[in-house]
Amino acid sequence: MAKPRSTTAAASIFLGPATCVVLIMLVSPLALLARYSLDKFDPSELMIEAVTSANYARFFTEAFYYQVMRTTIGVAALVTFLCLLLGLPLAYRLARTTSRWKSAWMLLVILPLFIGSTIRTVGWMILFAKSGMMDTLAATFFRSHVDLMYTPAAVVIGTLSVNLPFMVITLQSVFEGIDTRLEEAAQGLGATPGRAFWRVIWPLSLPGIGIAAILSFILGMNAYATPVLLGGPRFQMMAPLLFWEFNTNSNWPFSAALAFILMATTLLLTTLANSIIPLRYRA
Amino acid sequence: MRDNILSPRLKRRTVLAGAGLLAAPSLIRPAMADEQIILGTWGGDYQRLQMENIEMPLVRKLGIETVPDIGDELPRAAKIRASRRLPRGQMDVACVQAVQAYALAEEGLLEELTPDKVPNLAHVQAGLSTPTFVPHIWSPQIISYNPERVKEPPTSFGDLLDAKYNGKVGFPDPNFFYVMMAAGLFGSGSASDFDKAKEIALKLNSNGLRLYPSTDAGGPPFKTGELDVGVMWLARIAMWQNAGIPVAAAFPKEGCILYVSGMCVPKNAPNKAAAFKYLNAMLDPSAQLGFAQNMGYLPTVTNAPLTGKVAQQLALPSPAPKLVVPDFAVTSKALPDIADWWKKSIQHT
Amino acid sequence: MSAYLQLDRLTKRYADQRAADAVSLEIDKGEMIVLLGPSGCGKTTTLRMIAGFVEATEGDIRLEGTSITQLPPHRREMGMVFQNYALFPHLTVAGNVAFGLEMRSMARAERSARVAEMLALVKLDRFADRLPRQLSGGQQQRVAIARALAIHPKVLLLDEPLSNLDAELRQDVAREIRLMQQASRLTTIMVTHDQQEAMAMADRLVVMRDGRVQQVGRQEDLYERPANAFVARFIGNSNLLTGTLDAGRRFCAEGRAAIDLAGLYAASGPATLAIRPERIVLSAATDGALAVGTVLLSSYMGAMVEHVVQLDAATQIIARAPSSGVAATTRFAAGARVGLTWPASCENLFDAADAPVPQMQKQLTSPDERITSHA
Repeated sequence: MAKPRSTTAAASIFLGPATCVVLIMLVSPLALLARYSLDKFDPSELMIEAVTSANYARFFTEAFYYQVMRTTIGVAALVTFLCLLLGLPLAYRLARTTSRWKSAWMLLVILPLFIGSTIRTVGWMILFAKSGMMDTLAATFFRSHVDLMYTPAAVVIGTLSVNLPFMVITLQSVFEGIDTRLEEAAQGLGATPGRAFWRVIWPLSLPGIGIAAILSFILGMNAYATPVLLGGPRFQMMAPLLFWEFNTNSNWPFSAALAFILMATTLLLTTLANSIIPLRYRA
Repeated sequence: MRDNILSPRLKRRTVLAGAGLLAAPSLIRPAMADEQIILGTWGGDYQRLQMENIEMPLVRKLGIETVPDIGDELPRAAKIRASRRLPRGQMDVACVQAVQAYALAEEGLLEELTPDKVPNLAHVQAGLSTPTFVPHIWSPQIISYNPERVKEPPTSFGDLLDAKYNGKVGFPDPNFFYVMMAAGLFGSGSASDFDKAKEIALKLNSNGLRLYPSTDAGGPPFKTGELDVGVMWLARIAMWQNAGIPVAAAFPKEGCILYVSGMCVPKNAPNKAAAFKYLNAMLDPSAQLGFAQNMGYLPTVTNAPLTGKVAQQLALPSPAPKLVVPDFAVTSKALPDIADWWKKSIQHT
Repeated sequence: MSAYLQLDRLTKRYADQRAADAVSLEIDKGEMIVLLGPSGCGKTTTLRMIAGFVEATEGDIRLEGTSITQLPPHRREMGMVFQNYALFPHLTVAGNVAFGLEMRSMARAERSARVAEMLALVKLDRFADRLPRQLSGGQQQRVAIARALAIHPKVLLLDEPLSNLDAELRQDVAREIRLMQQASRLTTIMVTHDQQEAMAMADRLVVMRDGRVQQVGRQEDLYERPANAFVARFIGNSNLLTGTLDAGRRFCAEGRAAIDLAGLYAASGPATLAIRPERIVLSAATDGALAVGTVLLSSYMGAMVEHVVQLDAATQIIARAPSSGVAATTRFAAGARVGLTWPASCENLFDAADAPVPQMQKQLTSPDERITSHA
């Protein structure tokens, strides 16, 4: 009986640091935030210690906050859908290519991740702005004007560009994990490549696709720089609102409550989405 | 009661522990000067110019070195409030706008500043300073317009409501509070009349008001033709003109709200003596002219006359426009409510 | 009449490497062909070209006289059994078997009848609702076979079908597959690197090496008349001696051991001599022997007794003979001097170009005659 015990001990030694990091870096700020969200706000005192549900009640009683949440969910869901639409074929092709340029393609996909999302957004701003590249091109070739700056479309496109590399690398590894012989087997049995994908690869990759979609959705729900810079002051999403309450209004209790509401909503929606995936396909 | 177990003060300590971590670079930085002060300031050009015009040529000679603590004004004010009961505070000099300085002073958090402590205070223009606040730069808020497209320069905030500017009027969103004061000034002659201001702001909003996420983003639209008119600081107009943007300033007849930014010393600043020396250097004519030339803000001292192109760009018209210093007592209290109202009623439509 | 399945100079090139080089083969209907060779010989590439998973660089594949080279895999109607079975992990056993039928839009009733029939054939009727991961390796393989057979393929392709099975199971499964194939007269091509498996299952074998076909033929052809030294070594074991053929009847090994050949040859020069260990007869009498040597090692292997005989410092020959029965051999102790003889029909000689050196019609078969001629 000594052996299993010693391996358990060894395992806990290795798990120890990770557990500590999680506890210190994740759990304790959350606990602190949870506590703050029950405090009362005062402009000069910042926070007054209390146990009140007023901050949560404020969110649920004002239509404004509900509308911001709806916009946030809408953007995150639309971006995730578009990410899947664009990312799936790309990731699949990357996973199945035997080209020697494969690693170069992969690098190209993740290259945008090397550039901070704010810098990238500034690039989009130049592209979208009035008399920017897109506007000039449209004016030259179609004699019309494209004014995407400070529109919801700009936010969706910008967020898409941030999320897509994450989506593609996640999906690529999902497809990479599925034996190519399964597709061959399906095709050998008479399935066209499309049907082979739909009947074999799709169900097998569904749990992985679910994870990729959840990743994109979470990134979308928490997007900050893109909505601020591309959406403009009139476009409201949760993360900028939360930061505004925290930073501009110094209302820590309310922004803590907003953070929890955002987190809970994200969690709820992803759990709901996950439950749609049939049981037998789940990882 | 909970308060007995975990007192508010203890709680502030936890906040401060975090703030202390942010200031940690000062602890590991090798001592290069006899004294160090912590300067709470904005980043970017402002901090760079402080380095170039105040610290390097003037303050270093006094054996003082600054450690910048960079951030936005509101977190900085929050930090001062949070550490008010500590014997040693987190900042020696805090850069804030006049409105904020007023609010902090109301709470009794700021050191009183006199010419004994800061000799150059004697040269400061009347009306800009308060007993606890030294103005550093100022600029009147004007009506900005594109002189190529707007043949008849606007004369009042009210012109912005004209239907001919529908969809062609806008300004950077962070300036909303000053715009609200200007709206009040136009509507009822009082910068503190926020009820009137709200009414006018709603009208402005329905005239296709455009909002930009940052001050910098407010300039290029004049070049692209997106904006014909707007509201801005005179200082920015000079900066944008230098960048080749076709924009000019019109002084509204009802008066210009003044943007005044300066510095204050928290009561519990660890090194007050050095902080005073820093403030004094900041008011030095050479430092004041440096800021005017590079940022387009007007000097707050009377012994630093502008010359050359800057003088022309920043010149106030004759007869002198009406300059309005907001009633900080009212405005500082109204800020949180106006901010919330702005978000929900103007931004969100 | 042309062959049922015809490979015509089928070639696959990857960059500058030839994975399959002008592979030509004619396969009759109902025949079981085994592609055999070491790994990297091109046998799997050839099989995958037939299935359509690998596009041929050159050459043609014809099924019943019609070229199928350009057809995509899903229109070739080949039943493939993969080495790792490639069962669909998310489908039940029945679902796997029904997959090909669904792709053919077979009516539900007919489909389930066919599935039941196939599962009965592989004795898995009770496992229809299981998922592949709930089955043993042998059962999974039977599902793979049932799945391939369900579509009534024109050709059954087996890629190393036994390699993932336990050694004890392998022979049984090999026999089952062979019986099933013979019963259904299904044209089958199998790929393996195991020559015993190949011998046991094939009608004809195709030995490949470096992308090229070395020899095509029945087991007997390959074993008795290998086309080159490689085949001689790869199919069964052969003693392969390199040396020089001298005056058509003497072979001088590299280690200088002199061997009188059983056959008479028209050529001379550098050559390789191949003799099967079990064709060599050892005797205490060294007179009249084709070669003489010293026993180095003598091992009792059960059915066989194996002697390692040293001819010279560099040349060793392995001889095997039944341990009992009419053909039983004497066991020699290590160190004994022995004479080696073998019949001319069991002697294969290859020239410098690795081509077989033909024996002349008249053969000196009597050792007595040789002795006289030597004297």
